[in-house]
Amino acid sequence: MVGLALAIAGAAFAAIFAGIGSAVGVGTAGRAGAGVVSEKPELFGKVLLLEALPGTQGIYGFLVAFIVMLQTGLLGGEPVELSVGQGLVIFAACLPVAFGGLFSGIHQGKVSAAGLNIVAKQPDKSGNAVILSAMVETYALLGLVISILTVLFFKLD
Amino acid sequence: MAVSKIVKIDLISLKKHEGKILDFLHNTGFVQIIDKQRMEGEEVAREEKEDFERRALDVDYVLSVLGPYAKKEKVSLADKVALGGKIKLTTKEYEDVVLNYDYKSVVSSVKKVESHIQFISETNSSLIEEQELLKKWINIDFDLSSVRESLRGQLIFGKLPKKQENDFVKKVGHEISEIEVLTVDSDESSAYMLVTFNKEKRGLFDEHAFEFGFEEVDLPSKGDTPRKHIASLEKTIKENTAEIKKLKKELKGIAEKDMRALKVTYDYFTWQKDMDNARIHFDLTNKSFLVSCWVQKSHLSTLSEGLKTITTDFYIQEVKPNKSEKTPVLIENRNFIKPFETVTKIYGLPKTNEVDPTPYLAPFFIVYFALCLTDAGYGLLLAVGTFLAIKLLKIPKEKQRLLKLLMYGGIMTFIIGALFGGWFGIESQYLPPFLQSIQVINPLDDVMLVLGLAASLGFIQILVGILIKLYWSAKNKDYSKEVLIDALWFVILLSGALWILCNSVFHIAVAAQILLILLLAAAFVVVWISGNNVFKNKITGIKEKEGKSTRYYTWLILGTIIGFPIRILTGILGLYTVVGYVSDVLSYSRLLALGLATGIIAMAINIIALLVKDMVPYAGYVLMILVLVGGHTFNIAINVLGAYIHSGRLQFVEFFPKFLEGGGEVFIPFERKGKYIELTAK
Repeated sequence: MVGLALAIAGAAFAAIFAGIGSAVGVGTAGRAGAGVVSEKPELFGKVLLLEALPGTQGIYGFLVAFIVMLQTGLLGGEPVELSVGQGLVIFAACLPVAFGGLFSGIHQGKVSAAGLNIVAKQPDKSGNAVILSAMVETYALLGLVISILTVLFFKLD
Repeated sequence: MAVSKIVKIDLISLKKHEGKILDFLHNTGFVQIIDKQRMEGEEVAREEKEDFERRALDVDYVLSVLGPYAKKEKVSLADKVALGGKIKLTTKEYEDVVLNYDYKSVVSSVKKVESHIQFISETNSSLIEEQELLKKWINIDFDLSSVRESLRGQLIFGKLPKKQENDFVKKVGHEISEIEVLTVDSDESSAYMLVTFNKEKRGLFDEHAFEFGFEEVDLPSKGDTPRKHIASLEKTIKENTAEIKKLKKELKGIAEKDMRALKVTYDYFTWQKDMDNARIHFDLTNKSFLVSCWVQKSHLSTLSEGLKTITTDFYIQEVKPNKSEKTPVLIENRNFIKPFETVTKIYGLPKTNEVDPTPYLAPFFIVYFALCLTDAGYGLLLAVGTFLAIKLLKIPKEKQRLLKLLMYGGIMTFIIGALFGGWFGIESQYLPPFLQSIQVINPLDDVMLVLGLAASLGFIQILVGILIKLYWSAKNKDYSKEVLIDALWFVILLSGALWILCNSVFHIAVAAQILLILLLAAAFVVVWISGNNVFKNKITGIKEKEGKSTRYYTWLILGTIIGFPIRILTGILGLYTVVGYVSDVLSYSRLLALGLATGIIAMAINIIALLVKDMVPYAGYVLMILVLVGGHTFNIAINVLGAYIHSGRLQFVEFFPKFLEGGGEVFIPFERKGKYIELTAK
């Protein structure tokens, strides 16, 4: 059971930390966004877009957690018996997306909040703000690639 | 299909046609009038023009006053999207309003009514204040207008903190001989009193009053007893409120009748103002004027045809732009490619002498978009949804671009999704056999294959980027060192890739050998070019001074022998560029991540929906459908956004820098853009 517990701890780590990153990021962008909307309510759509961007890290964390649950048979089947070593491998595999998500989420939120200046002053250039914010997300994506590859390629049977 | 050719022209004509020509230019929007940088005081004197700015402000004010009274017009969603809430108007209707509508009387009557309302409500609020004040003294039963001062005595009103009341009465009663204090009323905090005393004792009284915090109150000295006076105030307030209501109704009437005409008038005035502002950039003589503009070369003949309908007294001359002037940029593409201009414009426009990247990024963008989604079901929904939106909402051509782009994306996603076996996240073994048979790759089983595919696409796009750069440089006869290095890198990258293929896939040893030699040779040339010849200056210095002396030859031979390794060492840094190319290619792995994300989240939604169905008996099915619809809608929305952004980013960060600098100035035509109205031709 210890092996399984370690694997599930990994899944929880991925969901928790990537989730925190997104929560903080969306929170930062949302607070700045409320200011823009109070002056220019017609920009709500664009503001919402920028606020939503740091939200993806949470989804990536969820995604990895979900794959771990599938692989360990926790969802819709019998849980697989895991050795401690196997559990540790799964746990370690979850870390890239957990920490990549945590920090990139927070920083993407800050870039989004700064990008809201562009939205407020030059709504036509909102696309640039979105791209600037998306640059930060790259590193959550790279973490996600590593986590997914490791979890999928590690044969449990 | 590229950066369109924009030329500078001087348009010369007679002053008497100025108004009509300006109107024509503004209406057609062919040209961008060039700002004349004038020295101070060089401002061309003009006869006083009508002040359209002030008029526009007047109408704007009236519109803002009437705004809250106007009935919200029911605008169909289609019109809202298509026109952005603007009023559609034919040119004839527009001219009719401009010529016949008496905006002045409406503006003045609205202003009058508005200021009347303001005046009355201000009066009312001061009346209410008076009323509040008097309420505290309602118990006084004498007329407030009666005399408050006699030869020796004086009567004042005042209030005092409640807890001080008794002490105060006692103290002044004790200290001052001729005084009478009468508490009229009191509430939680204060006591309201009436004080009569001998005028001569005023000083003494004030001392005590100050000590206890007694505050004199100034009651109005007109009207009846407070009770009656309050009643009469009440009546006036009511009358005033009724009057305000009547006036507001009047405004509402005006709003309903005149709002449309006022909006048209507003746009008319702003357009007139725009034209007046443009006049500043006209050069004048006694009878003629000259204006410089940017215009698309292809529009030149249409422009002069159009001008001929006004007058034949004009001359258009193509001139060369000054060195300090930057020609503005406009990109034009075939209809099919046009939607992709949205992507290019996020980055900014190319410079005048650069290539328009739109047609080159289009195929890559659309494939990346599809790879980020890889779900045929989602692709179908997206394609059909955007198609219906375009057709049913009758969105005008200029505003369709983003929707069309998403439609292309949807179609491509449908194709790639079918090949990858993605259908709303349903696992392939449960799919109908036909759908299973067209599936080529299962991305969950062949992750490495998809990763390889993404990286190869990226590699190909980078090669294409360098090729564009080479082609464009050759076309512009630019054979600088940078271009040569780019060409060498193209050889290195291509032969490197083919070498790997020949070695590990096709197993053609001879070809692999040749490719490897080619690669190394190109790499050596890169190193050689990038390296520094440290002795070059010294040797040429000696040659210039002494000619081909012995000293020169010694330096030449020694310098070459010693300089060679130094040149190679410094040149090796030139190979560092390869790190950039590798990281570029790795960046395309996001396609795999985003594609898997879409598929797995879809799968998760399905599993959760099934769990929900089993949890609650009977109602479970309803919940399941809710989860499915809501979940998949969310998944489509978030992933289409991600696909769009990240496919775009791969163009801007990985593709464009290979051949594009960007930063072209946008061509801003001098044209009619209404805040409220949109003119149609009919």
